[in-house]
Amino acid sequence: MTWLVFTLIATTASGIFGVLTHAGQKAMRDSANAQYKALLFAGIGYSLVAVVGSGVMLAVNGAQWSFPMKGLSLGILAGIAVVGVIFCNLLAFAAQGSPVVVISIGAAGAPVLNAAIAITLYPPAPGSLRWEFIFGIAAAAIGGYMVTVYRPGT
Amino acid sequence: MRRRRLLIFRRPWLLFSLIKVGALGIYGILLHASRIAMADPTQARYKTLFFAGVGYSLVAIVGSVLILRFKGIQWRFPIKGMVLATLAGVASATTALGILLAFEAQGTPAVVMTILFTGAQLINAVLSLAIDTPQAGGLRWQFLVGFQLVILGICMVAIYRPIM
Repeated sequence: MTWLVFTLIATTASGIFGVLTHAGQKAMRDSANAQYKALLFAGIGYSLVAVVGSGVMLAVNGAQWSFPMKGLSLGILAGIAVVGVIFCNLLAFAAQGSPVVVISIGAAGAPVLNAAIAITLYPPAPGSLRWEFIFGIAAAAIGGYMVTVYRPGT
Repeated sequence: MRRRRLLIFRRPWLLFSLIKVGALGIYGILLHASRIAMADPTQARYKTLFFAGVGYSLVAIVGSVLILRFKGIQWRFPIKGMVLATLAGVASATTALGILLAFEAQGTPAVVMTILFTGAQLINAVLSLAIDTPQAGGLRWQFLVGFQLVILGICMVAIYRPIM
């Protein structure tokens, strides 16, 4: 179950990310541009770990600096996808979308869409896809939506 | 179909929200596919994280700088804001590294990302409650039911995950 430990670390970091982004945005004290200022420094922080950190690890491990074009393109697309999420949030808020509704659509929709695409692209062994797994995804998605919509102060 | 299309165009925020769902939905799969395509059993996670960082930086740093320059803002940033936002970026990169390590340890995108998306909402809500504690009776029953549904869902996804 090592994968679960790493997943929970990623989950915790992702949960903290939302709180830190919000706090960083508020601390910028610029109602018109705080989101872009926060995004700029989030980008710097991400680069420090992802680009500099990975670069150092690859150099220390003596890795060959050759990257298959497919892996390189998909990696860049993954980075663009995650920052695209933040930009879409900003655009949706700017277009009068309520933050609670916009974020809860993501909380409910993303796990379902991700599971559907993942199962289609990487089909599980025949007979191993159980109804309890599908039910678990649905329960988690509905729960994520409810936690977001009915959070105190919303 | 025609009516649905019109609804999305009348409410641009809904269109952006749906694009966001699409981006979130493919994020873990792109990381997984990139890691496999790197064809390097020992260094694939760092190679993937490196290029995810390049993609993120391209949009977050270059995009933000362009918007801020276009708006003609003053280049002054409060220290607290800079530190917190930079830490947010560090947390986001840690998320990506955690996902890649989970994939390496035989976690699959369907399972890992479901736990991540829903669990992150839960942790975010708990942290928000810790920072801004509600008054007695301020917690609605729907919030508590949602909380339990997330935990139940995560446990079921982890226990009944399909064999690849």
